[in-house]
Amino acid sequence: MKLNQLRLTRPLAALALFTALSSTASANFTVTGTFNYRDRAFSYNAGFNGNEPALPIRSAEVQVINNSNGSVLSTGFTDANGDFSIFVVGSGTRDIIVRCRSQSVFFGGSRLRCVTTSNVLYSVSSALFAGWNQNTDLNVGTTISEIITSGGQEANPFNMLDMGVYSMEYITSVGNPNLFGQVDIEWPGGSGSFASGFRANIATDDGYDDTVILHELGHVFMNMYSDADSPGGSHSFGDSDQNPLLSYSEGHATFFAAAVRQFMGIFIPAIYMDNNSNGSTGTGTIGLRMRLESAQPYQSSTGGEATEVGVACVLWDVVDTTATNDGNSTDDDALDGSQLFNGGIDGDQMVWNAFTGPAAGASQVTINDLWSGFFNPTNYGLYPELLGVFDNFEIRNTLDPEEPNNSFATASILTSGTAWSSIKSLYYSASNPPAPGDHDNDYYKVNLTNGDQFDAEVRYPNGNSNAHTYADTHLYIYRPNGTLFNDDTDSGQGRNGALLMQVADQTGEWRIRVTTEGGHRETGSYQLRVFRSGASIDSFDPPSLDAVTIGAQPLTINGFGFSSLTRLEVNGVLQTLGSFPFGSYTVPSDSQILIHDVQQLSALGLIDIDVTTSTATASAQIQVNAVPLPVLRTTTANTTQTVGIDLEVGSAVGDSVWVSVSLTLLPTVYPGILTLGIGDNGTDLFTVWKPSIGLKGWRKRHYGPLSGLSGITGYWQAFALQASNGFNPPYPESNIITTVISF
Amino acid sequence: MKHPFTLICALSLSAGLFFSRELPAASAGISVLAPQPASQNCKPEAPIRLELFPSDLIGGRSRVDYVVTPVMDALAIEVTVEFPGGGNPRWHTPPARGAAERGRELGGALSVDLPTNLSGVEVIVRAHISIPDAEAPDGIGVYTTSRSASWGDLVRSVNGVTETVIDGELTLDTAATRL
Repeated sequence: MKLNQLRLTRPLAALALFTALSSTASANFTVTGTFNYRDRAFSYNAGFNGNEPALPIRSAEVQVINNSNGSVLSTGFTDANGDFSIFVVGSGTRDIIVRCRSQSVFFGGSRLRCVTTSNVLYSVSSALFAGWNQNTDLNVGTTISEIITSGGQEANPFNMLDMGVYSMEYITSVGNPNLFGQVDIEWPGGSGSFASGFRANIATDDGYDDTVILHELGHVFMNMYSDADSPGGSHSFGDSDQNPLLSYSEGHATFFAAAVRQFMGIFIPAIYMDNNSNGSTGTGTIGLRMRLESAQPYQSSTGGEATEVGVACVLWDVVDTTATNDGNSTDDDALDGSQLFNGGIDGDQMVWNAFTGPAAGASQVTINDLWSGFFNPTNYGLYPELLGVFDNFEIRNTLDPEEPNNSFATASILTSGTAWSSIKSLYYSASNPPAPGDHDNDYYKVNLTNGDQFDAEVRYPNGNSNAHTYADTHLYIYRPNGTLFNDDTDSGQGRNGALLMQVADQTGEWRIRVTTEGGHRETGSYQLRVFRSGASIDSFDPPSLDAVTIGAQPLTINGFGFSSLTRLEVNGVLQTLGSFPFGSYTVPSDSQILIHDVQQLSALGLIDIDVTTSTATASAQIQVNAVPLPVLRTTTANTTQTVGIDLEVGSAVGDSVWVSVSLTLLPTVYPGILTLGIGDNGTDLFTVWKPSIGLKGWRKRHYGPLSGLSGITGYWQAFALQASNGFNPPYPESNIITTVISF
Repeated sequence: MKHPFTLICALSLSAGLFFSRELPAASAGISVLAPQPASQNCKPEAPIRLELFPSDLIGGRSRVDYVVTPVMDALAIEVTVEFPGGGNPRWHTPPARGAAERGRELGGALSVDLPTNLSGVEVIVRAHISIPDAEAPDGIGVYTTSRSASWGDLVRSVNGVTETVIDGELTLDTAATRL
């Protein structure tokens, strides 16, 4: 119910409560008049703009006073227009003065006052009507309480009282017409406004900061009608990692100010401003401001349950509609007033019901308790719309797609890898609508092998360290047999759990559980990942090596952890990183190392491949075999030789290999003994080297350029006297290699 | 007062002072107003924290050390001082005015001369933070957190009122315009 409706239910004339002072009075008269106060207008973009209208002092106590002796003749109250009409019993003449005091008793008998910190009321008095004939009605005219100061800061106590009256009128409209105790608004209150119990202490320079006054009254009424568990103390807009107990208390108070201003019908009600009241005007008076529609200018750090700005903005979106007086006929959220909540109530009523109902009874009350109160015990409906409003400010009271994954049996599959999961929410409820959603446990399953080194960790959504830092996760890891392997609560980012460099001691399906530490962070959002850490060599391709090959002999090492590779050794020989021909290997991915050409190994049999990364080492062995038949190769890349060639020959251990060179590609055939493709039947065949193959399975020799020959093509081929054959024929031949001899 | 980063101090005086938190506690009679005790709910403040560490007032002179900490990344930081009841700054070494990242603690100090004929005196320190604000001139909004250090019994007088007693009850009657 809004202010205009409220006015229709109250008499336009002042309530005529009066005290008869004389039982023998024979003449009565009525005293009328108007009391106003000087206000200072402000706006979001201009600060105090210099407008100082006279506004009615509403619902305030009025005394008709015998100025001769200072006694009160009769008492009444101002109405919504600041008018009063008080019946006085009296006769003869009196010196009459009418005074308005800064208190109201309209709300259930308890007083709402504006006082000094010494509990002294303020007042404003009419002119003195000396010797007034009490047979005649008296109109004292309009009296305007003007600006007062303290420490150079301007204020008016009736402005502060008016904020209290508007607050109670708003609260009356949502069903609570009675104050449960005296409420005092104290001014001047020093350098910081604050609230304690039912007292709102207004700083010396906040006397005209209506949103500050309403904010502190918001705390007072939270203390009176609901529950607050905030640790209190100083707090700032733009802080996105607050205690959520404080965020709720402060955010609700800021929301309350905007809700009352909307009730008042003020243009653009959804702002918070704290200005300097030293009498100056203009933007220089603006000390702090914020828009509840957009969180401007703090939107970059607003999001989640642990930001008071987020709480204020989300509650504002619940109550604002297309009818909000903001110069805009639309609403930027789905709760635009076109639908009412269950019971035919609007957003203000619904929020108040949850505020004074379930939230009032919650321990460690946060915004999530208010959210739960929207659906339990009374379901006020419009769940999808409310969900969207809350999600806009990243208060994710929604089940993530994995739910329900609240047990071993229902654990979700988690893909192992360094990539973070999608954003998960610790929120689950089987109710419809799903609220409350605390005490959620999220289970995941991942396959690990005995001996695997792995990391498991949780972080805030997108690793954000500023906003969204609400979750306080606890991480548990269970073995395939169900026993607890390890757990952690705060080793990860912020308040998140992490277990690094763990070594699996079973093979099978492991379980990961993420839950909250509880307390006042019962829900929250997070991301998770589990991945094999360190480094490992799993396989080789090819699975074995030859001592010598005709062409290049590449080797692929398969495993993981290679992205941070710092050192690679093959049989103790350090390899160089780089593409061919600049290096001996590359690392195309975290799971592969590619060696371009493995040759000239110093041993046959099992050799070591050693990998070193920034965090781990890994080793494996690969078999190197001697070639069974002779192989001939030049290890010099350029076969056009000005300085000779490097010749490499391989064969089985113990073989005697005859290496020949010829200028002709005509064959040499000795049937049953050997068949060569060069030498022209031995007429142009020169045996230049007869190495015996040792334990390495290969030999190497350098040949300088042959004198007298230039630009001539030479053909090289070898044959082997095999030890395995007793050095008897036939003698198998090798491949032919071709070089150009020049000098 | 300790200066643990003495070398840094000497090299970066133009950047302001950096000092530890181990400063002498405020003596009896000194009060640092706002933030309020944890049991009280304070008003929202600008995204910059300000802590004052005043020393004893001796002969009307005192030193006030302070620390400012931006709650958001700041485009600029500035600190100003006011003397509502009179007084003058002898010197003031503020932190550097430039940008500062969220959470960075910046120190400053000032020495003040205050009236000696009052029961209580105070100095107000204001920390101003510049942040991006699309609705502010040049897209930069400047917002302020204030703290007050006081010595003695500060009397907060109200001007423009008259004490009146009606039925034995005191009120402060405000100035009025009567039509």
